[in-house]
Amino acid sequence: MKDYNLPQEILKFKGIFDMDLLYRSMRDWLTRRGYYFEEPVYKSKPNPMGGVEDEITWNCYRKETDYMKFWINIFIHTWERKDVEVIKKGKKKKMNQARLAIYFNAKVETDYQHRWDKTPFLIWLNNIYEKYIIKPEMDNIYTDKLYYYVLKLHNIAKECLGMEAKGSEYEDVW
Amino acid sequence: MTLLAAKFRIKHRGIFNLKGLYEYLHEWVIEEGYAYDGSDPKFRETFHSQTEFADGSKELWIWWRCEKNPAQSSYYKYELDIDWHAVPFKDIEMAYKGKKLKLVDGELEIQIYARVVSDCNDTWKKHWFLKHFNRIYWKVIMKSDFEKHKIELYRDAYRLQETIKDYWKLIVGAEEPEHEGGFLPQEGIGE
Repeated sequence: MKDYNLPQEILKFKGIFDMDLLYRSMRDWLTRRGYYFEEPVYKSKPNPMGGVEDEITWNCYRKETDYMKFWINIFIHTWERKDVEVIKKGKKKKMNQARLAIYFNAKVETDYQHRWDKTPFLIWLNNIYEKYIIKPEMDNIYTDKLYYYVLKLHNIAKECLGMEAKGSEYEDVW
Repeated sequence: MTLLAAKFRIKHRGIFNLKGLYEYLHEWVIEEGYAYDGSDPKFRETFHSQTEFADGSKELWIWWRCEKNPAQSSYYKYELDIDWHAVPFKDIEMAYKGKKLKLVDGELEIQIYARVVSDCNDTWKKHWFLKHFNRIYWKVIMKSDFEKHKIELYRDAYRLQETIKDYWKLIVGAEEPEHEGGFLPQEGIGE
């Protein structure tokens, strides 16, 4: 069993945004693509500077094959989150003002059913399999695919936040 | 054999009605069928501890060990463990719309563990013949059925999470809210 970790992606934002929309959009994106969604931690506490500080952890996985599993772990941290009313297109809308950081961590887990780690011989065989036989597939297909999936999710978050740098030239990849 | 369906915790610090939340979740557990008949002597609150400190603050520990047999199944059982831990919290009184409300100001963490248990009565495990086939039965033959039960319990657990988050006015992510308009006022305070 081995984990192929992808580089961490960080999104930071300060300003007015719709936290509900961001939360639901990201969660819907994950569940509609067949990811098993888990929220193991949700912490909320008042901030001494005013507003609320939230820490939300998401661990989502999808069984890509019977040998590989895609993991997307997201950590959302908000500081000084306050409710504000904003007039948008002539209508009042409830939004939030906060500082926000989202950390995207992804990895490909192999042999998640632990079929190949029962004996030293199987472990040795598995190492050869991963290092020499499926290595091109791992590098060019699976980790690559997961990387672009995370980039798409990253873009969803940027669109919800209304960031200037939203959109991606890799939208049609995978 | 036991399969973990969901495991999460929610922590909130603020002013809210702890007694209201306790009663709300108590009713939720009974309505969802996780408490046998809802009567207080049979409600599975296995541990309840409250400590008072010299400065007036308190610490609270509550363990609920709830169980449910889905569709009166004799093979499967759902276990839902709800652990409460509040430290420190103080009783306060707050005026709201001309009324005095008894609330608490503190931090509460609720941990939930949801598990599907197969062969809950150990019928297969104790049988001289069936015990040799138990593993194959739930791992191979009934695997898809087991997965369905796991997903059902997962949904129940996250509906409970949504209920708690809605009470505390936290961000709820479900497409269809558990309670339209909120049966109980949020934080036990009201509109």
